[in-house]
Amino acid sequence: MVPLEPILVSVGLMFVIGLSCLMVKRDMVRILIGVEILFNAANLCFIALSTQVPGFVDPYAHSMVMMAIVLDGTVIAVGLAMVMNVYKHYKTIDIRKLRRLKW
Amino acid sequence: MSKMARYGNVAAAFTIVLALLVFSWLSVGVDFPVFEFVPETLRRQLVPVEPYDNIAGLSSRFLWDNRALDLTGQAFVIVASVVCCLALLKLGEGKH
Amino acid sequence: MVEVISQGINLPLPLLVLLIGGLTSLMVGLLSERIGVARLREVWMIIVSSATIISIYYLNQSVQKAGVIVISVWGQLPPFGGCFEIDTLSIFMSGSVAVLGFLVAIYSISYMEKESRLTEFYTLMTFMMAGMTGVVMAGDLFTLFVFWELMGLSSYVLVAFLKSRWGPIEAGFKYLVMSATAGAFLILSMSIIYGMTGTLNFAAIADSLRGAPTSPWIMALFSTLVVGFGVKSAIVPLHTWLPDAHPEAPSPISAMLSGIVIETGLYALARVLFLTFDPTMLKLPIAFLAVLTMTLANVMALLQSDIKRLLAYSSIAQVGYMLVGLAAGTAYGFMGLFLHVFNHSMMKGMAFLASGSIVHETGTRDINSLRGIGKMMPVTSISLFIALLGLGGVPGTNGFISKYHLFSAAFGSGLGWLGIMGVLNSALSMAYYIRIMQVLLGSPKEGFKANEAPILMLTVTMAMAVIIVILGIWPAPLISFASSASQSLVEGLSTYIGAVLG
Repeated sequence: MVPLEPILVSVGLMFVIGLSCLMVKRDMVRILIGVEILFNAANLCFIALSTQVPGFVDPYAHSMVMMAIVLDGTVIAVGLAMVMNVYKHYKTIDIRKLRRLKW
Repeated sequence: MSKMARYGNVAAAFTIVLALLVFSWLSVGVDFPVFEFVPETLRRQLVPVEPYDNIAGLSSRFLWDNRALDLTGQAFVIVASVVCCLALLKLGEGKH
Repeated sequence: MVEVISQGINLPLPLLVLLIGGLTSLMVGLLSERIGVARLREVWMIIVSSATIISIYYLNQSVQKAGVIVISVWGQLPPFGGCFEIDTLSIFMSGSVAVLGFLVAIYSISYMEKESRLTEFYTLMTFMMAGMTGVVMAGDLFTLFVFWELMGLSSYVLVAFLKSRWGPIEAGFKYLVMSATAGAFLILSMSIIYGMTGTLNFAAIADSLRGAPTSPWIMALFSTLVVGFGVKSAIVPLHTWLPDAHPEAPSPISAMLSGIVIETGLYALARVLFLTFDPTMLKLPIAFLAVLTMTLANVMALLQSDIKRLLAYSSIAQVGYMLVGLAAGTAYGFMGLFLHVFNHSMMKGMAFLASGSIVHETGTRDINSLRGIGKMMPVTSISLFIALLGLGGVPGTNGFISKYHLFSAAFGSGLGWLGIMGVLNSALSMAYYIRIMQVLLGSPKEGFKANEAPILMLTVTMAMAVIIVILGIWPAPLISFASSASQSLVEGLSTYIGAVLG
């Protein structure tokens, strides 16, 4: 039985780290790393909640996480292919050089 | 940096700090209602923690025994992502 | 009254047609490069989409007989196994997807004929339609998430399809980052639901979590659900990807995105919020979001000079009107919501297709330089005129009927101020539609020439204009279908739960 509060606080912290990495960094690959941090935080929340019955582990949450990891891996792969196309156009992957990308 | 971008950054930073405060109050101050609302008809299949090496094997058996539909859908997502990468990385004939 | 199919492997028939059609579309594309037959891929796409419409018709027959159909594979019943649960609402939404997909497929035969990588285009369009059909038929939250990712993944690349210009790729990247963040919030909300109930099945959640008293964790769940589904449905302030993504996508894909992908996000939001929470809890937050969405989108649309960007802001405003129906929370409100979903797909889809014809012929998207186009492309301009009248809610078109139902549902459920705001915003939106109509009817400058659009594009826009006018004058069959769809959501809740939990 793992205590729940520390893990929930670290999930919240990882969300904040991921969101600020997404908004502050100027390199496109680092923005995608921020998205990946967000996905990992959400999966950690699932695993933390699966251990709450004393002495047992719920395999339902583990199956969800195994499938969610594959799904977000594909999204990041397509994002990296887009970054390659941006490099072909602009010869840089600095997001501040893109003309209309206003957050 | 333009004015809009600066206001946007300040608003975003403020939102993030607010979200952090709310989430930490939530997780530490209020107890998470763990499994409070389990419906009575649910007979749960749990895996004992003790032989640690077995957890992975029993979890993957649970996955294949109960979630075959989602695995089929996931196979199609992987095919779709391969087609997506092909569409993005193929050289078109000439430039339009 | 319910039917459970669970032996062997089976999927709902429209979904099976679309998934197998997508796989074979890949092979047909590779084959057509070897053989050299000209239009094989397009013909296969039309065959697949018409087969989808026919299979939805057959599925409708069995759903009318059975009430609710539950489909799962290899005997893995809920509440642990993933399942599809099909009621009249699923048939309504997947019918909208199939009809719009069929019309867009015919249009894109002549719009995309000079592009490269057409195999991937048609395959991804089929997979996007398959993902949408899977979302509306899902009976389990994780099944919905898997098909949600399928739909989203195809649409990221379809937005960035014309990759030889910088605009689509930038818009596609921004769309991908915002939508992937929303996916992470969705997984977080699924974990909170799992932590409270131990299962992710819709019927089990509706059985146990629905009447729970409001506590801070329930409000946290509500906010993460709204963020997770709201980025795809373009709710303000999560809408910032839309004014960049819709103009930069190729016109048939813009029509599908604005017409039906946004509405699938709204369907998922409506279904999950209705099944997890009490409708009385939803009224004020959703009403606030609706007013914010409508007002901001209408104000921003007045400032635009690019025709497709103006139509994109208009889509956000229409989502605001649909949120009014969600805020009402009654069966009448939901009926207005789903009726407006179908009508908006026809009207906005046709507006994007007609302006796509104009852009295809003249090569510019700027409204001020398109003055006088009505004399040179008369048929397209008449269709665009009818679509704009419908979007503004003029009586005689189907837009008026659905907006009337939405706002009277708001009045009827105690949110009178929301109905008044809706009517005012609808009147405000006519201002920018009249601006486009003035440009269409003006007199051209010298040296401005454009031909009429090719015959296939003309046929599709005329057909959709005829549908809009017919549904405006004789709306009774569509209203009764939408009414039975919303009744199966609201009043059929006990049937829905009983189908799974016995």
